[in-house]
Amino acid sequence: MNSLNGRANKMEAEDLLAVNLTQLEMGYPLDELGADLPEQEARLLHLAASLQKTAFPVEDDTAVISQRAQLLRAAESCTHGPIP
Amino acid sequence: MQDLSDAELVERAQDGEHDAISILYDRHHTRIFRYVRARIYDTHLAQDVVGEVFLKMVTHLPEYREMGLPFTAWLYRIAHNHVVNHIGRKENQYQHVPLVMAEAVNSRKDNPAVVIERQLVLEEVQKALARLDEIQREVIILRFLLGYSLKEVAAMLDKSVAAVKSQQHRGLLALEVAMK
Repeated sequence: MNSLNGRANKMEAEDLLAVNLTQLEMGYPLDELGADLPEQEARLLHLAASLQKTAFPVEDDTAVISQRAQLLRAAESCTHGPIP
Repeated sequence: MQDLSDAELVERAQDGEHDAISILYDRHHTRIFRYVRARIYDTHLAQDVVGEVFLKMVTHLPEYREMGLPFTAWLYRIAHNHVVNHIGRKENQYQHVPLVMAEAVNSRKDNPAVVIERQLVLEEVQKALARLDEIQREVIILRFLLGYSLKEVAAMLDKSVAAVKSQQHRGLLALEVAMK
């Protein structure tokens, strides 16, 4: 019985976090969402929000241009025509 | 052509319209780069892998049929296989963490201090991600670093939405511990 309760609580926590993450992605303010959550899920929501803001190195523009050109050359050389 | 969906662009590309390939590349290369860069610590290397991923896309595009697997999920699987192969070839990848991203400093004329700080933030996340199991790491990267929805991630990983929901909860918990 305790194990069933534990599983139900875990699913509730997963669902609760998922719903709040969706709302966060829709633009709801993080502080408002976090305020109504259990402590653990509030922490995880904040962690997810920080991850979303992780800054990545930028791609090199020259490499992007040359890669696109290379793809088009490859497409030219392996044109299979319309698939029957 | 810019307004067409991925599926429509794929059809055009399969009909030999190369502009469609160009648009697919422009639409997806940044996310694919970020996915690869989240797993491979070297920016130049990551960019090379992205090139390989898209070349494979072009080669196999004539055989692609949606049939329940959206284009983004198909492209992700190509990228994932390339990353896994690459990491397999370079087992010490996770030990190699460059401190300064010289190419970004040179090409973008950014303030070096800002670039270094940005790199360190990503490094911190990467080091913690390296301590997660494979599925949790993929879910965290796809959901939070790349911004795909639960449904999209489920298609990419060939899992149910409920399974991804569970893994994102476990993954965040594990990441929280790993970042302490």
